[in-house]
Amino acid sequence: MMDITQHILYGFSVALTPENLFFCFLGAFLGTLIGVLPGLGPAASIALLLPITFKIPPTAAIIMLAGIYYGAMYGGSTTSILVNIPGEAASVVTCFDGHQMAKQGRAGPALGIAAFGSFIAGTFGTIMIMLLAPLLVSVGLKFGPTELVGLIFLGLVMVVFFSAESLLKGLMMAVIGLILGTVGLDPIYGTERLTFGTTTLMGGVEIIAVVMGLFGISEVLVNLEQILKHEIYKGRIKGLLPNKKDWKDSVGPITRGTFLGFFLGLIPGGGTIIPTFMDYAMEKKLSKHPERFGTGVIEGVAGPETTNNAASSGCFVPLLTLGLPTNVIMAMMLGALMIHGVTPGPLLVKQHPDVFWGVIASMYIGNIVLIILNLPLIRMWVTILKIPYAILFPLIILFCILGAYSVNQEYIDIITLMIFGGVGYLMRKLKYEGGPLVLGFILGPMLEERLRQSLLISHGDFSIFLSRPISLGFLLFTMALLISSPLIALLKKRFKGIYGSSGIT
Amino acid sequence: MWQGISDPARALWTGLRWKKVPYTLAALLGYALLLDWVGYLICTWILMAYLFWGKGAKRKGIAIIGAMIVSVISYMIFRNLLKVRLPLGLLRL
Repeated sequence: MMDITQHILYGFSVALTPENLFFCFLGAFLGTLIGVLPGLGPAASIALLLPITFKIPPTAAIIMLAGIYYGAMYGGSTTSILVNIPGEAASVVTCFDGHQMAKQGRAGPALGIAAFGSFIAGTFGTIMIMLLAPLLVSVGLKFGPTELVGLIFLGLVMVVFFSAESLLKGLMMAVIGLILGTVGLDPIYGTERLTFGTTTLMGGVEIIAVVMGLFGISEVLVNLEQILKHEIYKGRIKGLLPNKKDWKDSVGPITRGTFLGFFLGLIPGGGTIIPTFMDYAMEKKLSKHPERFGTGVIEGVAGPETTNNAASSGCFVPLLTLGLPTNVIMAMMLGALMIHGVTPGPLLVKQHPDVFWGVIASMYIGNIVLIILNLPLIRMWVTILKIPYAILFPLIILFCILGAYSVNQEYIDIITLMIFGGVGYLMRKLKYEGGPLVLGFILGPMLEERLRQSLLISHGDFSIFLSRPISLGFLLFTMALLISSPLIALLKKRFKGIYGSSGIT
Repeated sequence: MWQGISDPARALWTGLRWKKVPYTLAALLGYALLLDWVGYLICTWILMAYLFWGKGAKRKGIAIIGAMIVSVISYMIFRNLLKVRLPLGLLRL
């Protein structure tokens, strides 16, 4: 216990330096902005800001990017409640009851409980990271390259398993990602792979342009073809503080949402979106008046909004302790750390304690900043919501262009952006998830390196993966997941039945 | 031939202004190819004006002037603050 207090005090000493404090604030601010604005999610935004973080120290970079992630979770609820459009995918569920509350003139308490719930979840999540991380680190330290092959393999399959609607589509995406990750020069022998004889592909495909195309441009394109009608809540927002009854109704959902979100966030592929749906379904089942869900009950806002914030903290644990990114945003964080020569994993705590504890401490500060940004300053965000999409979308496209271009200052990256924008648009229409593709892309080279190291140890004998108990365990679990997919598909269909009956269209 | 398409497939495209999508993508491709030669300021001006474009004389005026302001401001931010070298193209005399 003494250890933890000391560590966290050290963390605060890092996070409270003026520079880090500034980047924490900037991250929280940008995150809220991105969350509020529909059409620019955290994945594309973090990809966008990645080139900028090249120029600042790694701790400040991760503090800022983390702030964007959990800040977006706060901001997303504002748009969901006031406009009935999710500002961010993890706030889809908040629309159901949140917008109904706004229609009944209770926008204030809805926004209030969303912010307080997020604050509680964020703070609790940070404490959980602190307690859980050292445990996982001690496990992670025992892993050699062989075990890591098993772990990465399992992680990738889990991402496919949880994020994709169909396992087959998800696997296709993951494999395409793995193939894209091999473009360029072989890491050991330097042989050209999939370059088709051109020098442009020798450096590989630019991941930042891919992510911004898949998650930024494609979103714009989908919105562009629809004739969106924004129905902004017109009444004045008053009484942001929920009353006693609201609190009484929300205590249960907030507590459950925090735990559910955090633990689902730990699972590769759990992300922040699925937990909110699960939480909503759970709250509806536990409620004494399930028929009133969807008509503007505060539980339907408190639960999911808490869950997405708790999940966003949970996501950091596998990355910081095992070096395993579990969703696209964590993959971007991994990229940011690697650029600075910091390898996330079990050695991070020892080698870069400033990054590890500084980022965790900054999350406390970030959550305080966010509650201030989101409650007293709510009117500022409402004004931003009034910017028409016709003005917004060209700017989003320009940001993506500049983001893609500024990495290498090559026009080819803008073409990559365009291609993946178009591909991402079709993927969205045909319900293919971009997550497994990006994770395959990021994890592919990591997997390859560890695989080849293992094979060097075993002199080319593949049975090394089966003779080591931990790696065998991971592989068996992966196989079980793949086999059990038809069963889960059936359960998922059942789950959908619950949502379908709640009047969601 | 078109009758062979099942209803769910048609639902993906009908009632939507999907033609905007290939136009936007083509504009992006053109932008990428012309960027080094024509330069950031002019390319961005044209692209933004195209994307801001709408019906009515007032909207068109706003599009042209707004696009110019956006391209100049973004150029200055990226050039001076973030030290990203953006191509000058034709303006490099």
